[in-house]
Order: sequence, then structure tokens, then C-alpha cells
Amino acid sequence: MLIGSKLPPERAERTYFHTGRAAFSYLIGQVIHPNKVYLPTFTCWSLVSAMSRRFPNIELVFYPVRRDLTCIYPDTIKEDEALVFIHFFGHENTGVLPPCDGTLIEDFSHSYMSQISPRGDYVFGSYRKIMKVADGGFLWGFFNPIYEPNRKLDTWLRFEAKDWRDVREAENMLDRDWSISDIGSQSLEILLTANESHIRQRRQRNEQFLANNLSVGLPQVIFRNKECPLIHNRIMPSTEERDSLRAYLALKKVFTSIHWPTHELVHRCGLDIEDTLWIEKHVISFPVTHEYGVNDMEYICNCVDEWKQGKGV
Amino acid sequence: MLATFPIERDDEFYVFLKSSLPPRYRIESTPSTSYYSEWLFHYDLYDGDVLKQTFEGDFRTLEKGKLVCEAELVLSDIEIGNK
Repeated sequence: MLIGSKLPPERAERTYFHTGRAAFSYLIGQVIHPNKVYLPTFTCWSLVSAMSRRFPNIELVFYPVRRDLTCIYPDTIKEDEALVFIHFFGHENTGVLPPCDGTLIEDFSHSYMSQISPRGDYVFGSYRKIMKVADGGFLWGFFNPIYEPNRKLDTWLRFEAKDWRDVREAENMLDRDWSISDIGSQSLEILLTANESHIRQRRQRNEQFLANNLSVGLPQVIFRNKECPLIHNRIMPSTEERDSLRAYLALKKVFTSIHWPTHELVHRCGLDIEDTLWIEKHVISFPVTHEYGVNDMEYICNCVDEWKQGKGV
Repeated sequence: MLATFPIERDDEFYVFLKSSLPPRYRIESTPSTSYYSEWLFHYDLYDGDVLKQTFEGDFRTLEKGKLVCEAELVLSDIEIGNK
């Protein structure tokens, strides 16, 4: 037994990064070193961008995603290959994974507050999707990255933001240039003191309200009790109606989004991406964040009713 | 010297001026609302309520160092009273 005062530090069970894409890039570039990476055709473009900008020499291959979010995985994952799969919008992706001699990477960006048991070899994600933090990404397990220098001007700008414009400008800065750097202390404080149960319940309640009360379209995802919704995705009958509704809601100060526009590399991948494009053309994504209450969801539903009754733009 | 940090890249233009300008001045960004438009920029420089200068373009085609020079020029002009 050794007794002393200068002992090695404790190791945490999670490694933090400035962003989810930094965590992903550290994993690919410093831990796994694959020769080929599989991504879904239906995905947040930041992963595609991370691969194309950071790892131009690693083969990037897409696998199709059906409109019901079923993934058509490759037949097998070889030893030097990595497959990334996503729990879309917080809903557990329970599809059967292919036989794997390589590496399975689980993107928990949407689902880190859903009660899901990971099946991948590695779990990573971004914190900014669910929590209102200026930065933050994670990799489950202890790693010891040598972080790249970063003045985090995008983080500074987020804290200075008074409306969407500076938040968007900060997002643009991050999209233009990012590094594998550490999380900010403000974000870490918020994340470590967050009441996950409360957040999950509020989001579940908001999402359930929209699922039951929106008078147009159909829910894309039926969430399970243990899951924490990121957003409420609604499938509209046509692109024209979807765009008209989005425009009307914006006039009413309700800002929706499209998850996701299809990345140009997916367009060029040569696969059948008809279903991925179909989702892009029909989906409208409603916010259900825990900052909002049922009264806010009622307001959204009332606005949608108004649009439906012919007051649309 | 007004600068809060040494500007090194064009991409830092907006934060550099936002963090360095004296209270009488302000800079505002009006980003595009389109998806995949992160390279486009539109910045307006105000003296009080008067628009003094607009900087807009595409970072992908911008002459390297142009906005770094512009940012330093804005601050030096303010310091010597030219703006």
C-alpha cells in the first residue's frame, strides 16, 4: 500500500468536448482509425461535414434510411470499418445491427436523456441539441485527449446573443471552423446540475400534447415511455402545405425547422435516397423543449388550427 | 488600443469588432436563414443609429486577410477620430 499526498487524478466515466463533432472526430481520428465509415443517408450534416473535412482519406459510405426511419445497414462491418447509427430524435433505434468485426458507433446526440442501453462499442454525442448550453460534446468512457487550441469565439458570441441572429452567427462560425477542444466551464456546470428526470418529463408532456392535438399531418415518431423527445416531427401531406404552414407559424413567432435537409454528398452517393428526400419534403419539426409548458404547446396548436381554417399565407 | 484580442483570421471579424467597439458603435450580423449558408456573411457597422458601413460576401471567395485588415482599420479610424 502506498500512502502519499501527490496521487494520480481520478478518471471520470465521460470525456467532454467543445462539440459533438469534435467528440466524433477524436473517436475516428485518434481511437478507431477506420478505413471506411458508414453513415445514414438521413442524418445531421455535421457528421458528414466532419468526415469530409477532417478525414478526406477515409472512405465515406452511406446506407439508406426508409421513411419510417428503418435503416438498411450493410451486410457486414469488416474489421477496418465503422458504422454510425443514430437514435433519431430520441427514439430508440432497435433495428437489428449487421454482423460486425469492426466498430459500432452510437450517436446519442438526440437520446442521451432517453433511457436507452447502448449497443455500440462507443457512444458519443452533442449536448446542444437538448440542453440550452453554449457548447458541449461527449464521449462515454475515460479518454485523455490532447485538445487542440481554440479561443471559443463562437461560445463567447452565444453568451452575448440577444436574438436568433447572433446564435445563428455563432453556429455559422462553428460550421466554418472547429477543433477538437474541451467543453466550456459554464456549459459543464449547467449539464452537471441539470435535473434529467424533470427535463424528460416536460419534453414528454409537450411532445405528447402536440402528437395528440395538432390538427394537421401525422406524427413521424411514436415515442416510448422511457424516451426523451428532441422535437415533434410531423409529416405533412405535401411540401406546399408544409412550407405554407411554416411561413404562417413564423408570422405567429413560432419557429419550426426541417430535420433534415439532405447533404450534397448524400445527393451524390448513388444510392436510392427517395425515402430520405421524401422525409425532407414532408417533415416539419416542432420545438418541445423543456423550457416551454403545455400553454405554449396549446398556442402552437391554435396557430395550426388557424392556418388549417384558411388563414394560411 | 481598443482591441480585446489580436485578430488572426477573417472569420473572427464579427466577434473582434463586437467585443472591441466603444459603446457608441455597434456591429450587427444578419445571417442568411437558408440551410447550408454558413459561408455567407452580412455585417452592418453603426455609429449610434447611423449605418456607417456594410460588409457582406462569401468567406469561400473572400481574399484572405481582407476582413482582418478591415477590422483593424475600423478600430484605428475610431481611435484617431476618423469614424
